[in-house]
Amino acid sequence: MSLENIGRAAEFLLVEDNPGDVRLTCEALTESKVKNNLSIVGDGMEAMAFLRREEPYTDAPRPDVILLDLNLPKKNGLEVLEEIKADPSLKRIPVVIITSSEAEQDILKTYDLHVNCYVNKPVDLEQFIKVVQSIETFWLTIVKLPSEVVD
Amino acid sequence: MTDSNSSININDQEITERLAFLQLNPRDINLLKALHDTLKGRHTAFIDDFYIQLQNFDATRNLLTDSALVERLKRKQEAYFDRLTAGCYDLDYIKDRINIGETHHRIGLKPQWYIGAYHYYLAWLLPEIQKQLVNDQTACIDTMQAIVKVILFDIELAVDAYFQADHEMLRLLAQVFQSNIEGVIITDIRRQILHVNNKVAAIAGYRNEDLIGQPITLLLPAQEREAFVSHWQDIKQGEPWQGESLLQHCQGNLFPAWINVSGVKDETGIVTHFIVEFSDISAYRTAQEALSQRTEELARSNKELEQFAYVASHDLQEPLRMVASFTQLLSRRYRGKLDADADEFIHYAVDGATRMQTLINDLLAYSRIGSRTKPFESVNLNSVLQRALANLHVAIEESHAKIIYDELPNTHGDITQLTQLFQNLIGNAVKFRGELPPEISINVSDADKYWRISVQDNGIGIATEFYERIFVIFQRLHNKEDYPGTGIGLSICKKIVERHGGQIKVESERGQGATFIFTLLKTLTKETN
Repeated sequence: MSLENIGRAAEFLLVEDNPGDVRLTCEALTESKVKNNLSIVGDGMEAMAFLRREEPYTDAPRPDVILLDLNLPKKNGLEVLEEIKADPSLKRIPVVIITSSEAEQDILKTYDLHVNCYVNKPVDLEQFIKVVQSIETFWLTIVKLPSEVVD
Repeated sequence: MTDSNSSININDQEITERLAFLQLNPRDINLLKALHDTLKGRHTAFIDDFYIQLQNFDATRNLLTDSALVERLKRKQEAYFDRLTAGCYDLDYIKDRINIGETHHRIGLKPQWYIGAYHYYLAWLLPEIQKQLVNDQTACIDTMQAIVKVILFDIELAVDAYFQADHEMLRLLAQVFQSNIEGVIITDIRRQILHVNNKVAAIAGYRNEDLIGQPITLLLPAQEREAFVSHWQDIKQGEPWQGESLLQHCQGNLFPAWINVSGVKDETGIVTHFIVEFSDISAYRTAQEALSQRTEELARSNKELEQFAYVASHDLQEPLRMVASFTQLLSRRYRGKLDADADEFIHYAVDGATRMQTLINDLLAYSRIGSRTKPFESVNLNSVLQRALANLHVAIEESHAKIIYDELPNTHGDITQLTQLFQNLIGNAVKFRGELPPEISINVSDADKYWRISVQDNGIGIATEFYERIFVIFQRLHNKEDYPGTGIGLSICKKIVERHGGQIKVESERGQGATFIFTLLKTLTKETN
């Protein structure tokens, strides 16, 4: 089933160390028609702590979609992606790389690591908002995702 | 045929002595002269017969295939026999006889052929003498004795010459052996050393007498012996072996050597001796290592260049994008009506532009360390440190940092870069401070070819897992909000230290402060960059 029909707000996790980008993403999601919550972590280590509900993220919601930057302090986006996709309890969460890197090797590496999609941050604001909203629409209203296993 | 190369020094006195030893007396001379007269013109038939005889032996037949040559040799031979009994055994006669021996040596005719020829001659001559002097038994025997004396004299001279020529060749070959640029060892079939040249002593340190009679394995360290001896089976079959092995100097140190081992075969093809040639290739190895080090450096610099390209395409775009996005957002939403949000957006726009500038500047600074450089000069590190502290005085005062330092040495280097090195390290120590005011200690110690300098602080420290990462360009461990900066400082430090022939590392524990340690070459012969 698509998330649109669940009735609860969609949960986004944004892994991004650049406050400007965080703000831009917030702006884009605020203008969205879909009800959503955005959680933000600033580096790769925090991202893994959040996903595994380790201190101080013990009450963290399980995200429906992860927006992951590549260039992060402490643990970069590739390492985070690799860990998510190697973790049976996390690997089904769609991971969207959203980066300004257009390097071919980054695209290859992330798809090799089973990223769900790779998106460049557009330089133009209109485009940026459009991309974020497209991601949201696509992952929240179009695709079918596996039902979350309830303990 | 000249006698200029003759190796026998013979003079009139020597001739007199040799003839006296043979007891060749005036009566002998007279008897020989008498014989000479009766033999005149009678050698031709004998010599024809003799040359027919020579066709029976491979060694002589092979020399006599040209009939014109044979005729010439026959006439020479005739004159030779004729002169034997002429009774004049002076220097000129002797030189001719010596020449015969040397010629035989040159063409590989061994003395046995010479002696055999005289035997053949005597077998013809003695019955002739007997016939001549059938009525005077005393004169007959005395004539025979006289001719035998002269023939023995001839044989002595020719054989002497033959062996002198042989000896001369050996002397020359021995010189080749001794002056070989490689160490050369000759062993017997059991690999016991028989001969060594001087180069062996020069390379391996042993005196010649310490090696003669020893097994060749004496020169090998224990761990190489088995592998080395395993090649020997092939060498025995006649296959030479070439390769590398470690050899052991008599004082115990090991050195890499290039070795060639070959078997010496006798006429039947059986290996009777081994020749082991070797050269010390330490210098070659060192050069090779230097080369591979250069290659490694090149690879590293290429990698850095790649990283640089990545950074230029990635990190530089980010701030640019911020400027663009927030300016757009500003205009999109708050065109004509400014408020707090608008201010924030403007702030981000400005921030993005500023960071881009910083990044570009940092990148330039980093790339300049290797490219736009001053030649190294004598540097007093104390004044370098003072300059760095002066540049940091605002931060030091604001943080109430306490800085203690050793008396620092003089060295060689780039003053500006070394100042930046101290400034970055001390600046980091102040910036990444903990709850307490920073306490920074700068110490120096002597480490052989290097000065080892440490900058120790009581700051927040660095977890072990990040020891490598912090020296990589634009790698940060913290959010920009907590600790601003692009992550260029330590990568610049690393590049400066490496350009000065040293290394930099960190020792720290999270929360326990950090110690950055770097080394600087005391004397720089050339830039290591």
